[in-house]
Amino acid sequence: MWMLASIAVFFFARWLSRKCNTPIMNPLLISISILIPLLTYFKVPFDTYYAENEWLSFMLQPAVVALAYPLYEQLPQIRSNWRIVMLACGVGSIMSMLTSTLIAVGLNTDLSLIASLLGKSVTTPIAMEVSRNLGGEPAIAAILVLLVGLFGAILAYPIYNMLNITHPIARGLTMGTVSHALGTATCAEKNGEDAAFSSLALVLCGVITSILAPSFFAIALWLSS
Amino acid sequence: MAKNLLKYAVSMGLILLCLLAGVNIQELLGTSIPGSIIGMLILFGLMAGGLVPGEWVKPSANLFIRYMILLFVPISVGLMDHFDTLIGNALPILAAAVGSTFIVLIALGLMLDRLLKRGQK
Repeated sequence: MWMLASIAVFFFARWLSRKCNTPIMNPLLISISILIPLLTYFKVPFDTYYAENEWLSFMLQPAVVALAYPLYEQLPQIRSNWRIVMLACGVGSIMSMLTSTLIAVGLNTDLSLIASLLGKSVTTPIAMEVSRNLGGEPAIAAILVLLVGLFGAILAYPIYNMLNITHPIARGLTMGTVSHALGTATCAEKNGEDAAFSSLALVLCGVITSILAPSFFAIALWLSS
Repeated sequence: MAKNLLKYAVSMGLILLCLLAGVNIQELLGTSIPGSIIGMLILFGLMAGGLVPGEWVKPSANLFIRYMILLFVPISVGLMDHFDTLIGNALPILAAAVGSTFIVLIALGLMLDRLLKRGQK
């Protein structure tokens, strides 16, 4: 019964976000801001709701596998630009995890929060897996991913214009590295080439981040002990 | 109609098989790389190596991607149990998430733009 509620709310949220067409009206954000008050009103604990929705969450795993297809579609782009693509995704993922670890440790953040922070720049299913693997809270990881995605989707192009970053490959790869799917959707509205490289970076950075996140978590453990 | 269903069944089967392989490899190696990521790399390798035509994977892959946000909804609702953590740690969370995004956006964007433009000359 609550699974039907999730599905119905999602389709309503998607319709609403298409109608409004701004990054803040994100379908995930709308869905949870309808469902949480609804559950609170009917006094349904999260565990009850989640038990009925387990099947949807299980499908996230094959959804990650399905990302192989868009990556495969970018194969010609990878072949002709593989050096800059690998450099961008490698350096970008490392920079992103290093800066968030250092800032978080510097501010005495809980380790479980750092586990959720490490995946903030990659696509939600990967960030959730990374967070769960390191003992963080997947729900918090999802919200951080959304926050970072919105930030990039709204501010990246103004920043590019201010700093005169005009090369489509540079714009796309940077966007995909910091703001995953939300950023890629923004690129798609501006320029097709930006979007192709953004979706490429989104998948590659997801892979690199999931491989390297445990090492950065170890650094965080060491720094805060 | 039946042909379409078959296409969905084949692509779904391929995705699930790769997931199963990925999960087993993860357990075998005892690594913290999620099994789903390993599965994705296997499926990508199969397509890039020409062993599996992309068309065989496309129908279900596109279906997953189109409705992916729905799949995040249940876990994200879990936020209702974590509002206190989030509000109690609002400053470090915002500083780390937004600060790090800002730094990478500017540094990586400038670096790539310089590199690519130098290559053009």
